[in-house]
Amino acid sequence: MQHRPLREIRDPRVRRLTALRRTLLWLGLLAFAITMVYPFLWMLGTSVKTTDPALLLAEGSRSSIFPTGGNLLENLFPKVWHVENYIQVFREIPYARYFLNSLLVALSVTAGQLITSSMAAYAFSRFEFRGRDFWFFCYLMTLMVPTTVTLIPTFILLSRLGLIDTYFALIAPGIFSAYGTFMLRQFFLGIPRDLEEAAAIDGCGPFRIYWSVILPLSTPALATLGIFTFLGNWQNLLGPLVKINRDELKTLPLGILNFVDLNQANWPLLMAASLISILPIIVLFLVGQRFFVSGIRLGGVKG
Amino acid sequence: MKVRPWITLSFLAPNLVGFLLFTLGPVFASLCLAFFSWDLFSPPKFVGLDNFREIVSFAMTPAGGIEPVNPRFWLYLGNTLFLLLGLPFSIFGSLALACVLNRKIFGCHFFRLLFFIPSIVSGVGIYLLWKWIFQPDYGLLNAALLQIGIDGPRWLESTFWAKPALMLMGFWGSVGGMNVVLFLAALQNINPELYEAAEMDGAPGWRKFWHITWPMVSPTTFFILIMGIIGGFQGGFDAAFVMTRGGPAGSTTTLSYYIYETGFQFFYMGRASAASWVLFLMVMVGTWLNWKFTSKKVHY
Amino acid sequence: MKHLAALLGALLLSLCAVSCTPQGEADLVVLITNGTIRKAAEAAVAEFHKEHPDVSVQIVTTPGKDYYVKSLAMLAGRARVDLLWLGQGFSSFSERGALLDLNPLMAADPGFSLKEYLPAVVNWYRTGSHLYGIPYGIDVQVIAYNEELFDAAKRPYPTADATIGELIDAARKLTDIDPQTGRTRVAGLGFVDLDSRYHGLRLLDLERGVFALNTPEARRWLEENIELIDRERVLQRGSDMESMDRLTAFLNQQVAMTSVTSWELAELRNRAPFRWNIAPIPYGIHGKRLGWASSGAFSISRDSRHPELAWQLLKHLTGPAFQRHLFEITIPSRPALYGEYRAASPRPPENLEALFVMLDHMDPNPGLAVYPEVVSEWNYWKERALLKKSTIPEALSEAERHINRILERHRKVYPGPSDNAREEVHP
Repeated sequence: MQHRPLREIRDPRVRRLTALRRTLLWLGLLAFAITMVYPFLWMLGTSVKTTDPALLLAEGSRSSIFPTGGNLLENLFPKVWHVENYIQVFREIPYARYFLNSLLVALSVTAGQLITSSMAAYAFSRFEFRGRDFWFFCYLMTLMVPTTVTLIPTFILLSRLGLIDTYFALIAPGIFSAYGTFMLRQFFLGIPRDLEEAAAIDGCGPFRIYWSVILPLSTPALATLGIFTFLGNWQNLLGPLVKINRDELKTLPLGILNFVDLNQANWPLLMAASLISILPIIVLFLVGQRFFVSGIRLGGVKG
Repeated sequence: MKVRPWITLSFLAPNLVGFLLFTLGPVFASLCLAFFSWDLFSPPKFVGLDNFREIVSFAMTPAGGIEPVNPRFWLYLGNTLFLLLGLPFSIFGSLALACVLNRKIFGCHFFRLLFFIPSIVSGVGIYLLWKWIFQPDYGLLNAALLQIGIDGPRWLESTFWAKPALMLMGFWGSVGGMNVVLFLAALQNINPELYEAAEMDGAPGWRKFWHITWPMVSPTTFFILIMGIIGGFQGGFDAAFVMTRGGPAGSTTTLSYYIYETGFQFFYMGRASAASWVLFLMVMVGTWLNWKFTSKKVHY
Repeated sequence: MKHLAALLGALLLSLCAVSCTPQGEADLVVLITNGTIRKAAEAAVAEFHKEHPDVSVQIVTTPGKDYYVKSLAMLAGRARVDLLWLGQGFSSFSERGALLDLNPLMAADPGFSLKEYLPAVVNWYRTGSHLYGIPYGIDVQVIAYNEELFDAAKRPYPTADATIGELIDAARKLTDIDPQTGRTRVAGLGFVDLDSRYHGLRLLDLERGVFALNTPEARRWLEENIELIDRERVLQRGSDMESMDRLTAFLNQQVAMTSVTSWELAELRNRAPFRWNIAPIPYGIHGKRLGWASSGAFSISRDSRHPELAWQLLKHLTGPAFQRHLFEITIPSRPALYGEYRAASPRPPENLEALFVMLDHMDPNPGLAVYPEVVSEWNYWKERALLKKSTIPEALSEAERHINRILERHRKVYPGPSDNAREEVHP
């Protein structure tokens, strides 16, 4: 197989070719990104379309909701942008309340998950005790059963405990999902034991080792788990649907569906509400990048 | 390491107690339910293995042959497995994307965000939008294909093309999402000295990828694959429900759709539980196979 | 990092405090869907409070598409539900004993007259000698057509006494297929498929409790469908009744005629940028006019703790004031209000008489608890026939075999008398 020796790459002709190839690849990436983001643009465009029947007649077919024909841009954006839809969302439903509920629940579940599953994962990955593999298998098992069939048993359980219509019902079951324990245990298994053994020799107890050695090393995994948990909880619909009756406790996915009538939907307001609801996730993504670009090396034991 | 029992307990207890009550409890209840017949209004009646028999067993036809008692179940299983075929594409796509986005190209943070967005927008509106993109006569996809001279298929109206359509939509929704984030993290952890050494030896691009990148991200790949299999068996419900209602002639009905339908539309909760346990067994087998097959290849 | 942990810890603790405060239980719980019905229900509850100021009422709303998940979870878990809204899923609940018989409550209430409601619709809620729900609104199906497309093709609009043959002919003339690409620009009809009712056919023979479509007439019906869909491209298959994008092709003027239910008229009025109107379902090929129909109703759950109070509230929830709130989405089930309903329609009014014509030709889905399963099975075989994956005779006989098995099995579990069958409204 031909391979280019290093000095040939410094040849200006080859460099120009590589530069050209690189630009083309960049353009290709841009095109791919744009097609990926088209549905998002559709959401944006729909959210500023009018809902007033009189205005609809005036603005014509560019305000229709779903794409009509082959022309991509034909009715993607309307003639007049009705940005007031975003204010209207807050007027028609108690959106701020739903938002805060979702935030509260998602943050609490994430915090609870991170704390309790990292501790349990540490135990599963480092300690030896009777029934360890059996219990871990039980954890894994619960991940493989679809939530559809556990919906009603969960409801009955919470109902008997008198916990329906409380924040507790939304938060507690989420904290104890097996996902975090599974993921962190795999991650912990991959951390070499040298650091811990060194710390143990220095006289650290297991809790100290957990707190000062393992956790700092696991920041990427914890950040990932945090984002996964937050994301899953933020968008969870079936759980709150079944557990919450009062309007004040509803979370965003449930609250946004107020714009969906039995067989129709107020598309512009629905899209506006949905777009506002993904803002926190975008913020989380941008902020969480820092934890991933940290460049933490796992091979941190040298001499 | 061996530690005293109370230490183990203090680490495990916070999670284990809640897990037993809120997670394992309902799961165990649904396991028991699989042996009952329950229409949600009357008390459950014990029926033993009847539910399982209804789902997976075979019987004699009037003509004397053997046929499955519930042929639709096997169709749905096939659908679920077929949809899982999209998983390797999605994973490779994510890895490729992560490799590209890992370099310091102009606007890489912007690109990362753009590719991440499809995975967080979901909901009825997006599904219906895709339904109209796939519309054979007026939709964007066929119109675009027509420009290149291809006569597009009937997509969601065809039993053959409905699943690939859903897979395409699934690929769109997952390729740039959390998997890319995971792969990026794994890529960041690769020691650059390895690449420099390879460059010195004059190794070409694909060689570097196959011998350095691929093995070093294998734990992440493994994790993503397992979660993908678990999710793949359980998923496919929302999209199919909104876009095709289970598809032309049941071709987009997955097992999770079948479970929802059996439980909440036909009111056979016991049978739905039994089906989900059959599903569980399959996921377990799939995960175990995956484990066996790749554990040699995972380098820690 | 530590500060973040402390903040979260404080959050969690305050959370426990908030969630631990006990809620007072309401006396009556009403379960309904989101949307217009919510405001109407709130007004009805306000009226109820004038007579019973000490009774607290909680209205629980839930998204329409998940309504059955919510209601089933609550009823299965024996949660407090007194009144619930029911639409097409009514018999699934009533036949399984989830609802309270209203006859004793009605007998004890001399001021209430069931005769105020349309008898044909009330009968849908009877099982044997029991009455399980009171309907507040009726929904019928009519044909909506795009007047501008008809004008452009210089065709007369569909009339009230058109036959299905004439309608299909009109659809043929209106179908526009691009000669170069072969793509349909405008399809004459936009249905899921040509309904079996247009051929005077029914899915089930309710008296004998068997599948009724394995007949030569049904074969001809399927063949005509395949003709219209495949060869002539006159029929553009659309989404089913519960899909939210159902009217999109019609609103985009890509389909000249489509079937609409009375609740979709509001969307047409608000969003159609062209002139349109409605006409009754045409006469079928045997000279019978049959149209799909359904109704919205309220029932009392069997486990209600205050049935008498629930009954009082029920009267308000199906009362004239409630029905007036819902004029936009449903026809009132009280004939006395028809005049007001007509007067309340927007100007210019569409051909509202089409709706009233259909009131005399209602053919609802059979009131069988097992009907969803039967329909699912039937749709499977119908799709296979329409997509030519099975031959028509094969599909029909397989459907017959499986559906009869489902019905048989259901009869063994619920051996109720066959007065589960809804009375036929017409000969």
